[in-house]
Amino acid sequence: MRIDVLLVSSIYDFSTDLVVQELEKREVSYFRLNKEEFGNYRLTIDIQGKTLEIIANDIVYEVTNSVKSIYFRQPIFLRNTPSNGLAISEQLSRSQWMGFLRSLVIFDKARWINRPEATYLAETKAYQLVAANDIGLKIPKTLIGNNANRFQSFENKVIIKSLDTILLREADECLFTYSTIKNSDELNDENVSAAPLTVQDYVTSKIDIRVTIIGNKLVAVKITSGGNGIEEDWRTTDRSQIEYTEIQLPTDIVNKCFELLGRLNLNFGAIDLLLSNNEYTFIEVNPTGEWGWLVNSQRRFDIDIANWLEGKGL
Amino acid sequence: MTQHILIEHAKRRPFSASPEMPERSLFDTAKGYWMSEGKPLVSPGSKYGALVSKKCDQETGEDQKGE
Repeated sequence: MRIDVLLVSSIYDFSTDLVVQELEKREVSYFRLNKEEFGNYRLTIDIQGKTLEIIANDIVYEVTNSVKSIYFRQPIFLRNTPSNGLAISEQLSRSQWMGFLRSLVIFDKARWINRPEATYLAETKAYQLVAANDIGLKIPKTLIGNNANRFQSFENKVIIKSLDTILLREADECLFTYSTIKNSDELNDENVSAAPLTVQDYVTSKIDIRVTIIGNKLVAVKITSGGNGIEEDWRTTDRSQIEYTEIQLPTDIVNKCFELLGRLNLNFGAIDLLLSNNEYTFIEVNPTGEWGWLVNSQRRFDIDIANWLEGKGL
Repeated sequence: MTQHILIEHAKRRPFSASPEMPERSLFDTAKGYWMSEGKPLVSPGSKYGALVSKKCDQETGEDQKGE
């Protein structure tokens, strides 16, 4: 069976279930390749033929260079957290399957959300912040490093955050970090020198805005609780207390969001903005950002993504 | 010894290798999505729609980053 849309995912990537159901309704020829099922597939990349053959449950699926689109929902960076020490076979399996997935970049005529090399660059917060600043989006004062002395230059409260997703494991617990508000004088050599971190000016009286871009479609949603902005990292607030309200952004900000994605070679991006004192501040863009939590009967990002993958409209 | 400030402020939760899925649900490889009692498990607005798309409310960042 010739495949028009390849989805590279995980069985626990529930948002992708929604996209796949849309593709199935439209009778699109698709295959969802899941990392948990690698051992069950028999996969071959034919370099001369520029094809990927997938055998799953005795059915042969063929991805050729005329594949329409690839939805790549897998990590770009090889991480081993949160995890135990890995058995030698597992170490081999992880590193080699990562290499295999990277090899899919040979399908250079396909439309991608998003190409791995674009995601790799765009996932680097310093890179995306500089890009946003270059195109005229306001960004907070930002220092990245492990020199506590330099962090004392912030006059007011600061936000501290990791440079890269932190998923740590200790005994039977896993640890995840959110953005945290601190006073700069709470940062000292003892508590920052071991690993670099990102320190930014704390934007007060802010409203969080999530901008989701799929192709040429942009949807902005403000995130509030009781009608008000959430001072801390909103993800630490009880979800039942949060409202998601669609808003219109000023044209200038819309254009800059599209320009940023263009500069980063992304066809999909989830951008976090803050609105404070009538000014929009860029916080970050997530090239593999989640969107399922924003889907409702009026906001069908799953349909938008299916449209894009199918080459319709967007 | 003083912990790094990012560890000091990290949220802890019990580790689980994968989300706990409802009984009688099964990932259908040919269809490419979860089924439960003959129907798709995940649909917009369902319990396994928006909520679960944040990985059973286990925040892991943006996203598909954990391995």
